Amino acid sequence: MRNGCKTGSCLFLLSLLLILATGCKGGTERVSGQVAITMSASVKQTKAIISSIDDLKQNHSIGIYGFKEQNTNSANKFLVFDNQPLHYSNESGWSYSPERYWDMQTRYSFVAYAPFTVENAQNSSYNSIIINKIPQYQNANDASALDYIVALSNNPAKTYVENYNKTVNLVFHHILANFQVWAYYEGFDTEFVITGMSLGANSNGQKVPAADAVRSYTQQFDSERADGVFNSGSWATYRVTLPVGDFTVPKESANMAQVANLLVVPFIADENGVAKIPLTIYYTKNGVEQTPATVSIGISAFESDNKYRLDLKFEQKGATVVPVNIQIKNWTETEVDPSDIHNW
Amino acid sequence: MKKLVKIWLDVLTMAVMLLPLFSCSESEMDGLQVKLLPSTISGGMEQTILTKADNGYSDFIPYDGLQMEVFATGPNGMVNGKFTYTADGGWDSNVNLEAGKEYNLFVYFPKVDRASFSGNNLLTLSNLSVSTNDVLVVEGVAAQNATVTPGDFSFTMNSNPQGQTPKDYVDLKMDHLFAQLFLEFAIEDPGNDPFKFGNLRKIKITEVELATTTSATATISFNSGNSELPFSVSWSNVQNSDKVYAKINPLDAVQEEDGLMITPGYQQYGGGYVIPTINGTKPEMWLRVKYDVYDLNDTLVREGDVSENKLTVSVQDMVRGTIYKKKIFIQPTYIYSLTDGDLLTLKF
Repeated sequence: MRNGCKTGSCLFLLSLLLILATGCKGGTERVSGQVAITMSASVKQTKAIISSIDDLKQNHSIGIYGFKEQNTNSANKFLVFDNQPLHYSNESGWSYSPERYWDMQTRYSFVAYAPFTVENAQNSSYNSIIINKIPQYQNANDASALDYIVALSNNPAKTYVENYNKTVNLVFHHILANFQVWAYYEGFDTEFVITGMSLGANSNGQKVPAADAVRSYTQQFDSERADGVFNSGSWATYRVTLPVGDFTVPKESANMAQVANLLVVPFIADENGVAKIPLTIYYTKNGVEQTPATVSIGISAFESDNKYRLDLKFEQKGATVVPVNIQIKNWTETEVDPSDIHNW
Repeated sequence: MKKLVKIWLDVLTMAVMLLPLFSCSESEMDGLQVKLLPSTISGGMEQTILTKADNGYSDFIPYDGLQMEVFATGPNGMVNGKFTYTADGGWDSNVNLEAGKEYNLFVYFPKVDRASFSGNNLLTLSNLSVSTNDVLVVEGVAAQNATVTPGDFSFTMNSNPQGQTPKDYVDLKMDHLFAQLFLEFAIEDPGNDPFKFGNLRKIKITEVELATTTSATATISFNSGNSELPFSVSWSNVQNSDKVYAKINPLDAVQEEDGLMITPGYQQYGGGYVIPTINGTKPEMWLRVKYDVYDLNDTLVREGDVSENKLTVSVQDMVRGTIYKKKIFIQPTYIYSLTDGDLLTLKF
């Protein structure tokens, strides 16, 4: 017993060891006094697919690029995040692995985007990131549609740690335009079915990007805000068919429903940017194909982070005609002789 | 004896006197038969009997599912739509016209897949051959209860249509585009010969199809203002290809019996429709008949036998709007009886 300890002293030491052991397991600020880089995200506006921050949390991952400059304003840059995926959980918030730690002597620049992709995103010499293979027109209701959002952040590490609770706050906005068409009809019962839509005019009108055009989006790291650019691409021969399925138009404005929900890579309708873009609607009336109707959507360009909504109203004029009394000219009768003999 | 002779002479005299009356009755009977001939204007097994009217036209009773295709030409171009009749809802239409405006209505039925309208008066119906249904083309249009004049296709919509689903109404006169083959069947009289088929077996026709290898395109030119010839038909693109079959709608009486038990006396079955003679060429035709065989105790011996024979029509020019009454005499062969064991026993 002399070489041992008293029971109380032993319990105290054991408890202390346990506390220290537990402290070493968890937390983010306990290794060498470093401060971990943490992330938060929000969506600036509600949009077509990623409609809220909750939607982003539940359904998407974020990809993030970030670098630090060894000395402020120095050209020496080190990549800290290279298309690092961020995942959200209620327990940990936006998290990534392995953790990185703030270098308090440097300045950081971040570009984040969503939805996360391994194949179609890349960084370019620490100056910018590029998102590739963005379709010019997408039906937002398709499961495969990509509603890209982008966020920037650019500050000295000290600012992040002291002013922003060590967190990079990513405020996303949409880089595509959202174009919605809604419709209803008034008057007596008629079945209007919209069977298709096209942008642009037949000829001598406003050129619009080709339906199968695919774009790349480039975002500089050091911009004040996310105002990246899309590469220019081929132009259509005046008119493009939009990815829209058949839609039966409901009756009365109270039942107005969405015909089309499109994601559009921003563009200006023609080189001068003054023309209004025509939209042609193909439709049937009571099952009979009608002459397509062309309306102006009132704008000359689709801009990123903007939602455009066009409401269509179908009006009925006149009435239907139906037959009542029908007479048929009598047959003239002729006997045909002789009889045929058929062997069975 | 003298008295008996006198009675016989009286009977003979009366018979001679009545003979013209019977002849007259026969003639009227023929007329009556015409009245009762079916205009097979339905889809499926529906059938409508037309009653001959004094003015040369018969009232048409629409059937469930009937579709007429309509081309309405007016101040804003052509409107294409259809009149649809259902037993529950009556007539409906998607031919929407502007109130107070005058239109010409060009109508035909039943609706076919390959129809087009061009110019102001040309209706083209392609790939026509045989049909289960009578193909009819409008020859006059008028507002409801107004007199329909052949050659007048114009109609002015009500200037102030009312109601939730406002409608306006027209009356139509239609004429035939096809010729009709009306079939009667008989089997040879077996007499007292115990080995003749009719004394061994009975045959019940359950289905008849009319077939042809000829098809053509009809271009119908509407002649506004011509009451004698409201429309004229030009046939083109005459082609020969594989046989096309069209079921013949049986008469009501045949339908009620689920077929026609053929006897030595001719019995009517029903009518089928075929394109007329085109440029002197009459379409080649066949009859495919499906029948059941019964023994004399009405026990079904064989079911669903099929026989196909070429059909001859003695007239060269089959013209549209004409019924050709065709008698078919059935001559069964021993091929049938040789397959039946009971008949073999009977024969030997």
